[in-house]
Parts: sequence; C-alpha cells; structure tokens
Amino acid sequence: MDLKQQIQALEQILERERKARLASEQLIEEKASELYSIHKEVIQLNTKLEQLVAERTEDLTIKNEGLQVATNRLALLIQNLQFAVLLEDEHRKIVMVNQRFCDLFMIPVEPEKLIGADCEKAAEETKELFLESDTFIDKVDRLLEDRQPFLNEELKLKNGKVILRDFIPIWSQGKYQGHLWIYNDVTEKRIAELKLTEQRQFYENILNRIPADIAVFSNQHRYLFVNPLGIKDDALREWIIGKTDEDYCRLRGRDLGLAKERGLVFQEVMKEKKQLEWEERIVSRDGEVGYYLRKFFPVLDAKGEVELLIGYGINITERKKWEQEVERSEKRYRDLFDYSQALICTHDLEGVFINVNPAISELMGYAPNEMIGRKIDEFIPYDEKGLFKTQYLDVINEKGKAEGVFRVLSKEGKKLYLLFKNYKMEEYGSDPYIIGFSQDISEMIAAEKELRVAKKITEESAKAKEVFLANMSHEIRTPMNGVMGIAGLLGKTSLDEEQRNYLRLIQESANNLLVIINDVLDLEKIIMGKLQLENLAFSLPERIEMCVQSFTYKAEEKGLTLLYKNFCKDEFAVIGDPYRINQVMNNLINNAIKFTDKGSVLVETRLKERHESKVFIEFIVNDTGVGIPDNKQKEIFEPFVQASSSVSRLHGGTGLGLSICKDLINMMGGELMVDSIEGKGSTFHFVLPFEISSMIPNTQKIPDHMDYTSLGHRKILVAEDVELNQFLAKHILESWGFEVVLANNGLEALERVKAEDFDLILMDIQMPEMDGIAATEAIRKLEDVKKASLPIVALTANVLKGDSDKYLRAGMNDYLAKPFDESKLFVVISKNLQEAGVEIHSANQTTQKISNMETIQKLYDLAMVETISGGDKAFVAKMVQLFVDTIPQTMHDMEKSAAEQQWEATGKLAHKMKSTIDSMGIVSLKAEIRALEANGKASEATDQIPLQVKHINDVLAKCIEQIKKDFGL
Amino acid sequence: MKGVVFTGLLEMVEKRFGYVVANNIIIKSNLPSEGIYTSVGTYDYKEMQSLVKQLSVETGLSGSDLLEAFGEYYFETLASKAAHLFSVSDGLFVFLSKVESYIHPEVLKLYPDAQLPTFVLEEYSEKRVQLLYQSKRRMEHFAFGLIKGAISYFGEKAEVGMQVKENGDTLFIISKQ
Repeated sequence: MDLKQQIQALEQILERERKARLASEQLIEEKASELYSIHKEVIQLNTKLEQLVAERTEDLTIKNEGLQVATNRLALLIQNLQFAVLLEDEHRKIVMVNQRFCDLFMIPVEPEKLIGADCEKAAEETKELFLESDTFIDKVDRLLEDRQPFLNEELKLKNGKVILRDFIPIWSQGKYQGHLWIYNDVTEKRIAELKLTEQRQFYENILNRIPADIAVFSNQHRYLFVNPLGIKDDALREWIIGKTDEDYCRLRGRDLGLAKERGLVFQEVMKEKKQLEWEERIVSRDGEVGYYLRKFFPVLDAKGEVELLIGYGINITERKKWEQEVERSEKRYRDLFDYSQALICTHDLEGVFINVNPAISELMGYAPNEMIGRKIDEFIPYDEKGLFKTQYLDVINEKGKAEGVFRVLSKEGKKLYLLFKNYKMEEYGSDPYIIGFSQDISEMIAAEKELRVAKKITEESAKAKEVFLANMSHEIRTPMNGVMGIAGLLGKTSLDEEQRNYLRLIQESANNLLVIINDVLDLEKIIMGKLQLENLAFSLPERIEMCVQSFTYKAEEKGLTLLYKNFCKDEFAVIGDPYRINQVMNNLINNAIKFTDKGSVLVETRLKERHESKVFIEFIVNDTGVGIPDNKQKEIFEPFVQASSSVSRLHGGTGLGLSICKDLINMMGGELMVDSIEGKGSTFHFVLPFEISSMIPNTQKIPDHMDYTSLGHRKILVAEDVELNQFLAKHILESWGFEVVLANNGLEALERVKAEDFDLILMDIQMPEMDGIAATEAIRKLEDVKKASLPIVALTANVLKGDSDKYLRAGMNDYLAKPFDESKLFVVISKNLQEAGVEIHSANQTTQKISNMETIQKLYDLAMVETISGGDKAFVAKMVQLFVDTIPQTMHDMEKSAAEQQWEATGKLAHKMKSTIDSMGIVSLKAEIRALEANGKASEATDQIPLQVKHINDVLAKCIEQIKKDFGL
Repeated sequence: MKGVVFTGLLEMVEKRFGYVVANNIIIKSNLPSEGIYTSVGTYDYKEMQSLVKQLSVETGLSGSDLLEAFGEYYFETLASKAAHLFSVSDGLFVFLSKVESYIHPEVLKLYPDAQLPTFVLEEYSEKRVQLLYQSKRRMEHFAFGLIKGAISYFGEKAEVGMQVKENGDTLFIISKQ
C-alpha cells in the first residue's frame, strides 16, 4: 500500500474527526444554554411553590382544628359502629379502620397502627380466613375494577362466621378517591334465623302431619291457614286463604247449610271465648256419609279478646260406624237379656244384684227394682244363707266361675231351685262383676223326687214279687215233691192196668205242672236279671247225648226216629253252664217231638270254629213236623206267644219255652234261629262260644239201669220238717236198703249227729227252730272231725235264688232241687258217699282234692276292690300286696291268743280280720269269721274257737297261696 | 442508530483492516453523514448496512460474518463503557436473562431516543438459556456476535446456536455442557 494513499486516507479521517468534534462541541453548547434556561425556570417555580405552601399551611392550620373535631367524631362513630369498617384510598392504602374490623379478622394490632398499610398484601394474607379463599382475591379485584357499589354480599369464614360485606366506591368531583368496606357479622342472626326456620318447619311439619283437619281463622271467620289434610288440593289450599266457608261451599257447589251451621258455632265461640265441640255429618257427592268431630279453640290476645280461632276436625266415620255397630249389638244383647227365657243377672263381688232380666223378676215375683241393689242371700232360705259366701262368692272370686244349684224363695215364699253357671267378668277399666245364667229346675227337682218315690215303690213291689215268687216256688214244689214221690212209690206197688194208667196220668200232669212252674220262675229270673250262669267244665257231646237219651221213650211212643249226630271230632271239654244248655236242648227236643207226628227228630252238634282257647259250636234240632208259618216265625220267640192258638189247645204249654230258650242262648252269647216250612218241618239252630277247658270233667252219667242196692247198707239222717217229704224220703231210701233217721228241724238234726254216727245227711233248707244252713254250720264246727266232715246234701225248693254257692259256702257238699226223683237222688247220694269214703280213708288225697277244687273256684274275689279302685290297677295291686303282707301276722296272733284262751282278744282279731275278708271277697269265711268274732266277744262256745281259728287260718293260707300265684308275688 | 455503534465499527475496521479500508468503505458507501460520527449522535441505521456491505466488498468476507465479528468485538467496548451494568460475578446466564429486563431499561435512561431490539427470555435453566431476538433492523448476526463476546467476557464454556424463524425472529440457544 503506498504511503500517499495512506496519508490521504489519514487526512480524510482527521478531517472527519475534526468535524465530528465541532459537531459535538455545538451539541454541548446547545445543551448548556438549554440547562441555563431550565435552571432559571426552576428557581421561579420554587419561589412560587414556597409561597403557595406557606399560604396553604396557614389555611390548613385553621381548618385543621374544625376538621380534627369532625374527624375525631367520625373516628369515634366508626369505632363504635356495629359494623367492621375499612376505608382505603385509591392506592389501596388504609385510611381508616375500626376495632371491630380487627376483631372480625383477628388482627392483633390497634386500628390506628394499620393506617397507611397496603391492603393488597393484607387481602392476600387474610384470604385463608374465608371459606372460598381461592376466589376471594378475584372477587375483590373485580369489585375494585368495576368500582360499582356492591351490597350485602354474603361471605362465609372458615370459623363458621357469616358476614355481609358492602363495597362502596368513593368518588369526588369525578375522581376516584378510594372505597369503603363494611363488614356486618350476621352469624348469630343467621343462626337465630336458621333456628327460627327449623322451628317453623318443625311446627309446620306437625301441623301438616297431624291426622286431623286444622285451620286457623281470623276473628272475622276467614281462613288464615289450612293444613294439607284439611284441603288436599294445593291450589285450593292457597285459594282459601282470606276466604270464608260460604266462599268454599259456593266454589264446590255445596249446600250452604253446613257453612251456616259452622258460622253459628263460630259466633258462639266468639261470644263465650271458650272452645266448642260438635259433630258434622257430611254427605259427599257420591252419597257417602262421613262424620267429623269439629272443635273451635279461641286464641285470646293480651286484652282477652279473640284474636284467632283454631279449627280442628277429625274424621270419626269409622268410630261412628263402630259406635252404631256397638249400639246395635248392645241392643241385641239387651233384647236377649230382656226376652230370654234364661234367667240372667249380674251382681258385684259382694253378691249385690247389678241387674236382673225380666225372666228372673217374673219367676221370683219381684219387680226388677225390688231386686237390684239387694244382696242375693236375702232371697235365699234362712237356713242356707250361711253357705252363700263360703260355697259361692268365695269360689267364684277365686276360680272365676261357679256352678251348682241355688235354692231361693220367691216373693210368694215358694222354694225354687235354680241351676246356675256363673262367671266372673274382669274387663280393663271397669270393676269386676259376675254374670249369672240360671235355669229354673224346680219342676225337674219335684219330678225327680216323685220319680224317686215311684222307683222306691217299684223296687219294693219287685222285691215283694220276688219274695212272693220264691215263696210260691217253695210252696208249690214242696207238695209237688210229695205228689210225685208218692206217685213213684205207688208205682212200686202191684197195680192193675187201669190203675197204672191213672198213675201215669198223675205223673204226667205233675211233670207238666212242674215244667210250667220252672218256666215261669226262669222267665222271671231272666227278666229280673237274677239268672246267673255256671262256669263249669263239661263234655258237651256227653251232655247232649244224655239229654237226647231221656227222650228215647217219648219218641218211640210217637213212632218217631230220634237221632243225635255229633260232628265235633275233636276231644275237648268246654266251660259253660251245662244245666242251661240241657234246659234249652230239652225244650227244643221236647217241642220237636211234640209237633212232629211222623218222621224224625234229628239233633246235631257241629264245630263251627276253633280258636286257641275258644270254640264255636252249632246246635241243630231238626224235625219233620208241622212247621211254623212265615209270619209267625218271629213271634214264636215272644213270651206267651205260640204259633197258633190251636197249638196251646192241642199241645198245651205256657208259650214261654222258646222265649226262655232265646233269652238263655242270648245270655250264653248266641242267637236262636229258626228255618221252617209250614207242613214240612222246622230247624232250630244256634251257635254258642265256649272256652276250652284244660280239665277233663268228671262225667256224671246216669246209668241206664241203676242198681239202687249197689251202695249197700248206709245210715242216712233226713232233716225235713214236712211230714210228707219225710215219709217220701224215708221210703225211697229204705227201698234201697238204707237205714233212715228223721229229724224235724236243724236243731234236732244237730243233736242227732252228735248222738249217732251217720254216713250222710239230707238237709232241708227251710226248717223251723234252726234252718239247714245254720245246722250245717254247726255240724262243721263239731269237735269230732269225722262228724264235722259228714257229707251233707241240701234239699231245697228255693231254686229261685239259684245260688248253690250259698249252700256250699255254709259247708254243704252238694244240693238237690225239690221235687227230686229217685234216680237223681241216688246219683247225688252215691257220688257224695264215694267222695266221703275217699276222704275218710285218705286225708292227704282229701287235701289234694280240695286244692284241686279251689283252683277251679277261686277262694277270693276282687270285685269289690276293683270297684273301689275305679280301674286303678296299682291300687288293686297295693291292696293285694297289703293283704299278703299283713294277714299272716294277724293269723299268727289269732292262733296264739286262741291257744292262750284269750277269747276276747281272739274275738277282736276276728273283728279286725272281718273287714279284710269281706273286701278280699273271701266268701267262704264270711259267716265263720263273724261267728268267731261273736264267740270270742261273748266268750261263748269257747271249745269251738280253736277249731274255727284253725279252719279260718287254713283257708286264708290257701287264699294267700292262690293270690301269690295269680299275681306272681 | 446511536453514533457509538458506528464509531465502534470504524474502530474495529481500522484495527483489523487498516485506515485505508476504513476510509475506503466510508467514501465508497457515499453516506449522508459523510462518515462524521459522534458517539452521542443518532444516525440512520441504513448507513451501517452500507458500511458493512462495502466492507464485505473490500474484504471479500460475508456481511453476516463481518457483523458477527463486529458483535464479538463490540461486546468488549460495551463492557468497558458501561462497566456499572456488568458484574462478572453474575455469570453468563444471569447476565443474558437481565438484558431485556435490566440492561435495556438502563440504556434507555441514558439514551431516551435509543431504538433497542427485544430479547425475550424463552428458557432459563442451569444448563440452557434461550433468547428470542426480535428487531425490524435484522441485526441477528450482530446479536450472535455480541453473545459470543459475552461468553468469552464471562470466561464460561458455553455454546451458542441460532435459529432464524420464518417471521424473522431469531432464537438463540446458549447451552453449557
């Protein structure tokens, strides 16, 4: 680069720098003169300002005094305001603030110290106090921006306070000067308002929910309030406020009468200032009737004038219906009470009548008011008054009910019987009382009394009839015995043909008469229920065989075939009454032969059924006789009825036979039936049940041809008071080669036994001085064992009682009913002689025999104990146990006292034992224990006592054995 | 544009390229001010464009490179002239962040008629600062140079990158490693 060029450049640069310096210097000069003029201006302005400030200061000092007073006043006012006040200038600097403000926002600084503080920061710091702290600042900013007054803005503090805020911007001569904040703490007011609202809602809820119409009226009777139940329709409920009932009725097209009625009540309440209550009957448009209970309550003001009226109404339609129902039902009960034929009353717990129904007052003859209020026992006969409390009042009070019979006196003094059933009524809310129902049973009682008398008469007459029949039986049989016996003897003498024929007629007539008597007696026994069946073991085919055999002669006489066919193949003995079966078969066979002129009579027994211990046997009697017309087949079983009236003429008979057969078969458990074709014959048949006996019975077959001399020479004592019978017996027995000694009564018989030895005694029962039973008992007590055990056979005409027990119990061995025939007498005598013969020779076997007999016939009978027990088996068992446990000691004591000859003590023990023996039904000792008691007590017949004791103890020992076995003790 | 920038540029041209080049570009640019600049005066910015353009012709370097170099150079001048505004202890990033908020307002106090660009602080973190440059005069390369000058002034290891946006704004990304 050449230098020249460089120099030129430098010169050019230098030139520019010089120019630039000049330009700078010019700039500086300009600026300096500018500064000078500005400086001058500033000095002038300063002087002016100082002047102005001095003037102003003077001015302000003057104004300040007045202003100070006003400011103080204002400050005091603001400090004492109920509001929190904050005044800010346009730059948000605090101009004024009061204590309340500091309190509200918990600023722990005196208000004066806050003046001049910046509120922008304060707002930021206090925003956390507010619930909506996030938006707090924004809201404030908006207010400041808008610069519009904003009043009553609600703010909630986090501490629960509620504040109303006013924002008031301050303008002066179109210039914004700042703003005023006013805070009003309304927390308590809000709480109070809230409470008030709650309370109001509470009461409104109650009013709205009360199940009653509620309305409030002005004292002009205009509606102020109605609850929803009063008027359901919301619009209508609103509408009615200020309106009247008339308005309402008009609106609803209802009758104005109701409104008028209410108006009257309203006026009444206004006048009386007291609540009134009335019932309204409202018919709805669809015709339904409703009932309302209405009330008006006046609400009085301080002066005591009616301010408001509260109307209250409840629907009582249901209640009304119930009331009407109750009224109706009460009327029904009242009618029942009034018109009932039953005697109904009520009385209190003391027995004082509360009410009586017309039926009672009519019966008693007292007007109701003559009874009500009086005690019941005033109507009770004097001698029974005492029972009223103890047997009625106390009972019903305790148990709540009582029943029985009251005896009361009517006004006329008539004694009445009232069957009553009374109850105590206890209802909540009322005193308990008794309701009584009774029935007049006076007539029934009277009738019952009559009936009792009638029954007694009947019973007495029946008893008399029975006694009469017994006597008749005896009185007829005794001479009949004579007639038949003598006829029998007559037959043994030599007679020509004619005489023999007469004799046969006598015998036949006598037999017929006897049958008639027996039939009558049997029927009577059956009717009276006196007939007792035996329970003996026997062979049925043998019994029937015997029975059929006895008709052989009769059948042959009529040229009829008489056959017996037994279809029971099994061999067994049955338990039953052989005598009654015999009687029935006799009757049927007799009838068959009687009503059959030619052909046959067929008797059959068939086994119908066989069970383990029971058999059913069919009995058939078939004949080829006249038969029975269909229409008579039922009647022939009726007493005194025969197939035709001609029958009795032709065949005789009482017509009782079949009736008796039917009854006997019924008693034995069967039914007599008949199949018959008139003119062809009849079949009578029946089925009887029998227990099967384990015993093989002794057959007492009457031999076809009896050898009356087979018993050899025997010495027999005949005790019989009737001479004819003495004669008869003596002749029969002597014809057998016996020696006969006669005694005219029991006493004589006893004497004879003591004096002589006999093989057997025939003892009549009814005798003067001492009867056969007493005599037997006396003989049994004889010291001489041989004499005391003589076989004694009773001869009795007293078949009515039919009680062979009685004779056997007295110690007799057997009995024979009068009139007897020779063969029967022979059988009985030979049987008893044989037994006695065994007894005499073998004492051991005798005991065996007796015990055998006793197993068949029980020595005791618990019927009485069972009756007392009323079906309680434990009781029976206890009695039995007691007997088994205690009696041996008494037996021992009695034996001891007898051995020590303490007769009286023995008698007392016998007395003690007597009731036990009776209750245990040990009938065989019944008489003997009494005899022992009597002997002991009187110390009589003391020689007999040890024997009696021994006999009694023996029987008791066996009895205990039996009981132990039977009860498994 | 304040005269101080012109005097700064001519000072750099004189130093780097010599008086002749400096004189040449003034003369060849045919400037209304004839190249007579006082630092407190104010001149049309187009004269700066003419000078840089002429310098580019003279030197064969690009205008942007020249402006960048000028910026780098000029920062030192600024730093020494207005030392009260520069505190080395602040560090680079703090300084950059204060350009718009502090330094420019202070400059305006001294030169109320100064026309300054805007440096918007787009990002400020430990590792990176982003500045958005906005100016009608489009002196972004000058700004780039200034930032470079600042980096070396504060003696920190940092890199600067620039992105010129479609609207002419330029984003400067200054990052430390």
